[in-house]
Amino acid sequence: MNKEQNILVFNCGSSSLGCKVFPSGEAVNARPIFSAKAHRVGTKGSEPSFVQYQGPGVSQKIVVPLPDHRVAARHILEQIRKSGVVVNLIGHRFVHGGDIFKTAVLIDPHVMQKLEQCASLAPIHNPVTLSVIRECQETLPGQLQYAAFDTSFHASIPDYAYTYPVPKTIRKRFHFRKYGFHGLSYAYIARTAPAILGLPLDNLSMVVCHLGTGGSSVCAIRNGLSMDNSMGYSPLTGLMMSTRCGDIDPMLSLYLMVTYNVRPGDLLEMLTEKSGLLGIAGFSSDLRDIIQNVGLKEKERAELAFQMYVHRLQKYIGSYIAALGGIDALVFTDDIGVSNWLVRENACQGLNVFGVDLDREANHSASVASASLISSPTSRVKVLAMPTEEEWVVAEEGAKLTRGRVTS
Amino acid sequence: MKVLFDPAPPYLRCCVFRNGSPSLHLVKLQGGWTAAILKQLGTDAALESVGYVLHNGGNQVKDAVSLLSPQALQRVKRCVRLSPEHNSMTLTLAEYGMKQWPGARHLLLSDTAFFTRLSPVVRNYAIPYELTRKGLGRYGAFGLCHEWIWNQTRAQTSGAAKKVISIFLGDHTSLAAIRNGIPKETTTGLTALEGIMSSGGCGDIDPTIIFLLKAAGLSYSAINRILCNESGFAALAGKPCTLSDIVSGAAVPALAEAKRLLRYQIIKQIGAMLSQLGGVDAISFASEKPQDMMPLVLEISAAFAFLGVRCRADTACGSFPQELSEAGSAVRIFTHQYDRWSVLKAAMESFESSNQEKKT
Repeated sequence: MNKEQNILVFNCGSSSLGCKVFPSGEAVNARPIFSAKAHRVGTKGSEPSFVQYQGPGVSQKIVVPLPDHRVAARHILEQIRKSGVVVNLIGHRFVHGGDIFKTAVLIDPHVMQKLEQCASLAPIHNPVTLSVIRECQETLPGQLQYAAFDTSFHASIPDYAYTYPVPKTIRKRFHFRKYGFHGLSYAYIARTAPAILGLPLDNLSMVVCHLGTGGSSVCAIRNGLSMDNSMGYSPLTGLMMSTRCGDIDPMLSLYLMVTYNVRPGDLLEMLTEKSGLLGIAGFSSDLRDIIQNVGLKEKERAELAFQMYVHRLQKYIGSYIAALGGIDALVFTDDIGVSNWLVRENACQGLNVFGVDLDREANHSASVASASLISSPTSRVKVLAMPTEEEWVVAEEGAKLTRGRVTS
Repeated sequence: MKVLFDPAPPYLRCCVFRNGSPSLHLVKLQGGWTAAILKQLGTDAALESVGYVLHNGGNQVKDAVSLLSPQALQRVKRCVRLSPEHNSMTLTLAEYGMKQWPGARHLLLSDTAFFTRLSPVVRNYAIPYELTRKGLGRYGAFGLCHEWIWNQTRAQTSGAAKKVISIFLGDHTSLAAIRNGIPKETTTGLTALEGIMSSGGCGDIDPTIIFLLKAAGLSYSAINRILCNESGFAALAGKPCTLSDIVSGAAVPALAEAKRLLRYQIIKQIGAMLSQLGGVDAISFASEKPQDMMPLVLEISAAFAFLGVRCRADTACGSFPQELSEAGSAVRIFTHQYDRWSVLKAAMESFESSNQEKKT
């Protein structure tokens, strides 16, 4: 890279929009000079949406209607302009690059077309990321943009874990296999957690739980490489999520279409946007809301939704510990993973058989801003709660991608 | 004489026990199949009891064995939509049998009854709750088999085993986590398609493929056929094959691939079950061909060496049931010879004798 530049990174969650500006010279500075996070974007809940800003001379929470991600991006870009922070390059976390994109890519009209082809692979994420890219094109015309993909980190998943046993013709025609998601988050944890834990990267087995406010997944990591991920061809499968169903009997979809005459489009919408925590609890898709209402008679399904969420998380942790032949560390990350002690406490119950022993007090008082060791001193498995930094990984990808290219 | 009917579309499997000795018949379900049954059984006045296996009793049938009555038939009718091919055959047979042999005792054997005790946390899918109210949930499958494995394991450990993972290894492998006789988890769901891949079934996959296939113009019945009959071992091996073919087919790359996949799926599911039981006293494998399955059983057990599972070296041959674990193993490992007909017959007889006791 010839000169210093500021890289703005957008990170679309299913119900959030994160944004960070990293100064970058020889390396990407891990400390952003500006950050924003839009919460409850397009969600149905009892709390209003808002954006939390942190920048030069700015630290504020703005409560504002955020009906979709494009509006949230417009709001954030306007605040960046007002703050006086100069942006030289814009990166986007792109959830699903399918078979087309294996590494980060600069966005030109041809690439944009290809990205649009990937929209249906992750119907909750890819279209909203595309809408944020378009918003940037319109607000900052001519600004260089690039995309970094969540699916890249999972390229190391072995064939026995990624193969779906359906006829070969179908696997080939639809490129139907497990891709895995949240790869940028897992890449960050895989690179940084070993040093925090004081464990060597080589021969280190970890199960990492990326628990977001919208989407969540679990990853089995050995020696820094992804070995399996709870999400699949799409981000629909795996854990129960805010509005996504997670694992279901494949026959359930067929059954609903045939027996109840549900149209395929309506059914897919139901499984992605009306299921998960929202489907069971009925009143909110937000785990924080649901936990607050556990025990209230009028919200009797809140308890069930919470228990189902934990149950499925426990099962995935157990299955990946078995798949790895035991683990050295269990890591909780992203919004829910870092901030919710109750989820961690419940998830770790029953995992003593695998050598997991949680320090309840340390778990209660874990920091939301930095890594906390929350296992007991005698626990065979070290348990960590730590924030993830997908945006930093995206910024690094951008710096590599544009080395020598960006001059203004 | 006792008779058992077990639907296996497009066939009906029928086992006749004369003086305790079984004879198995396979009846193709086409025109005149009732005549084929009659040819086997006639209007034999010696027919004491007839058992009908119901593959999916949903939330309607809560007893593993129950006496068929007109009310019970209504419940079976309500279950037909859950497994149309199998359950409609059970219904047709039961209606036919009750008319044909009015003097016999007619019993319903439900393969999902054992799992009606799963907690709502386990039974529910994370889909809109209204659908759960309509009766959509994880009903499990092969409950009669898993309950039998539990009982066998209890007997072998003299009642010491409280937490057991039961594993049926076959063309349709399934697992169950059982604590004190109560199921806590299982691999199958609304149907037996969920879970581990089978000889023709895909097992757990991303259901998005169904929408892609539909958008590509395939009919529902074609999608059903692909996922239930042309996937699993058949898809990986490129031809129909059995679990025995896969376990013994290490020299054939496609079969070796299928075995790796299957082994991985089972290991993961055992891990999931361990998390639900909070540990385990015994892992029990059952199979119709336990000797053939021994290499797979030992490989799976070896994957849990990190938990202190240790198997004996001298397990090459022997009679069944057999304990494979060493004396110091943290978990006891058993293998069992499973014979579905004997298990079904024993379940019928157990019901009959306890009913007899109640009467007297």
